[in-house]
Amino acid sequence: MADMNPLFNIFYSGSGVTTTKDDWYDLGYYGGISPIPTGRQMFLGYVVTIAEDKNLIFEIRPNIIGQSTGTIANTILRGYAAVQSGLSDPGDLYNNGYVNTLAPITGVSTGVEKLWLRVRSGSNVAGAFDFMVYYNLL
Amino acid sequence: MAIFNLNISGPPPGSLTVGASLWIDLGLITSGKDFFIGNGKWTSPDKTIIFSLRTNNLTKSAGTTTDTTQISTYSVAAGKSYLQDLYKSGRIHTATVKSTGVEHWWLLLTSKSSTAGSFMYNINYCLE
Repeated sequence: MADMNPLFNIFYSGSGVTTTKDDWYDLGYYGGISPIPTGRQMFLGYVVTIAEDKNLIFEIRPNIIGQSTGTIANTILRGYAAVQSGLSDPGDLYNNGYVNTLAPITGVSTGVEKLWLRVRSGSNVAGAFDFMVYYNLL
Repeated sequence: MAIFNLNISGPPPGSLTVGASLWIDLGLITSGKDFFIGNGKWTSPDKTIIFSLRTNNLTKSAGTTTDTTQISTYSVAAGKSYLQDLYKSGRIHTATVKSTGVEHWWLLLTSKSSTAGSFMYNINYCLE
């Protein structure tokens, strides 16, 4: 068959255990790119999130320009899913080209901005989670 | 003409169950080629199971987390099926490594329960 030129040709794949009601994960920790390279912007396509043990809320949050920490003030929500225990969510951040999900949202990276996965729940009981994030670099 | 002209499915009814985890060897990747995966249909009749496709890393052949890389994952609740689109109209490239002649691809099943549970899988793919 012909060579593939997929739009979203890079992915993060990882798992973890959240032990609080509000945890932040730098996706670069999972073998991906972090910070977002200087002068570049991430183009996000699809996300798969799994909540193994308890209901979880997953948020995809890039830093705003000039910031690098995983906090509400320093990031902007760009993807969101509530996932029941034992289930998955196939998140579509592209929607056949109708949605342009970028990170950082307002421009290219200055070399410090990261992409964060925020994991929330209603309890402090330990809960395993898994994810894949498909993206590209513009 | 269909892109994904090859198929692998299993297990034969009643022949396998999964406890806490099970590695299924989907076979040797054709030397000099990689397998390009279109979709996977995952069924877990008895309990919640996570279905993960994994490819051996270059020159490796064992079904272990160290020697493989995950290329897809999905959790399916008891009594449910899910058809996972791993192609997305050509927007993503879900593929194994290009084989040197020793690498396999694997289906890793995991569950929070060690109670035996049946399962089914059906994968459409092609040689690239």
